[in-house]
Amino acid sequence: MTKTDRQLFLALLLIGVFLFVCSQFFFYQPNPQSRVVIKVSGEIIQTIPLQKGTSQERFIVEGKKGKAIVEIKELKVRMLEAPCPDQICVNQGWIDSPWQTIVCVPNEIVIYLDKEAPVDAITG
Amino acid sequence: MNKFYLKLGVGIFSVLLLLAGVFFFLQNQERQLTSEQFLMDTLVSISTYGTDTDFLQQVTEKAFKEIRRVADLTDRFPSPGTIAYEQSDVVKINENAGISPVSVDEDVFKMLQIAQDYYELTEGEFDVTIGPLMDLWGFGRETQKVPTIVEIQETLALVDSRKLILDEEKQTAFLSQKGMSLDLGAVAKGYAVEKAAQVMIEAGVEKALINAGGNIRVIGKKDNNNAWKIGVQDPRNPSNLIGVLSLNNEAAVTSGDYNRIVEIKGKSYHHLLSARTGYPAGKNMSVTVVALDSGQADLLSTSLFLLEPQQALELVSRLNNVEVIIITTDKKIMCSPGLREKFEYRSGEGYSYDQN
Repeated sequence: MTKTDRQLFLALLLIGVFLFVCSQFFFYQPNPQSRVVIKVSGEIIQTIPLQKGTSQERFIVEGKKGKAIVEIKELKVRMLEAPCPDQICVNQGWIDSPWQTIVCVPNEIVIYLDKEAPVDAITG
Repeated sequence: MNKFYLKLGVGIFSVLLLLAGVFFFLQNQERQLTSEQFLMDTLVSISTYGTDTDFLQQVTEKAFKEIRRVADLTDRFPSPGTIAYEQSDVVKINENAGISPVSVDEDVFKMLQIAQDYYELTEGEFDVTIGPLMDLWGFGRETQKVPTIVEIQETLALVDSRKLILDEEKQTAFLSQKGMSLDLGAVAKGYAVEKAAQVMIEAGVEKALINAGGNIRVIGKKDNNNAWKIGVQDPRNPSNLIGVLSLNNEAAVTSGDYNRIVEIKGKSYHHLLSARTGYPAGKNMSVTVVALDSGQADLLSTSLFLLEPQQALELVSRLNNVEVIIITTDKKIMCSPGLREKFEYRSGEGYSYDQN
């Protein structure tokens, strides 16, 4: 191996390491942790990480018709109050599975758990 | 030293070539595009897959437009004076009940024709002229009440699909008695989803999932080896899936006694009313229909829900390309024979799964 070869080897190695480090940042994904996603009119307005042992927490969400209150406890979430006539979202109660969604149509609020689900969709 | 630069140049060139290759590969990687809109009283989500996101975006918009068009045509409660009010064929037909036939959109006419077929097939349990009965209970309105037997009897006199006169040549619909009204709640959503699916298929979409609040239509396969996995909800425990369906190019729709329930004086009532008795049907907790056409699946899930389980299975055996999962109020799970391959039962508290 000549001196030139060694220099070339070193240069290519450096480029390789540089690209590898870049790709790590590019494809970086945080650890999958269960979290609640709240959307209003299609826009994600809040994500809240869920943890075992956390006490009750309440969040005010500004929906299309007014203020709604979302409650989180340990690994589950529910719509506590919402200004809608049918109260379907409130009556649904707690959700704790990745395939469940709380939808308040009049307020255009969607709440779900961002976890890997074993199915693509559910019918029910 | 010159040699060094030459070799370095060749080295960098090969790295760039490699990068270009990776870039090209990523460019042609399949991407997923998901859009959501609030339509037909529910959240409609469309996920499409492909390499050209601009194309997917355009097709998704077209599909939503089609759903909105069907929604506008069939809306029963738009506010008077609005454009939606002007556009609803259902409003026109209802307002002209006992007065005159109304010419309607081709799709509305088709929906009414199919609804008439299921009126016959279910021997009157399913009836698209159920409007007055829905109004009496207050479903779709602000307040609900339990009607008296006399009120129900009086109202049932206005629920009669034989008095819905369809003229195929003129494409008109006519409710021949004043006070009658149509409610396309069991038809329109599935029909709209199927229209949207057809728009996407015609445009060349090969892989997509449309979910309109549990009314599901899949296009293509999930990937080369796998079908789409569609969970079937446990009717008594929403955190649990009773089983999983594997579907390709099909639709699945569920009617359940736990959806859209209203509480009146501490008792809950669901909105799937029998057009024969006037009360919520009580034999089944949920009925899931798998069919090629989402419109048919939607209509059938309501129709079969209203029937006795055995009667429902018997009706399904007479239809082509239609399968059903019935969960009865005594927690028996029954499947039509063609579904055994596609339905994987998981578990649920107190249920018994009858493999036959």
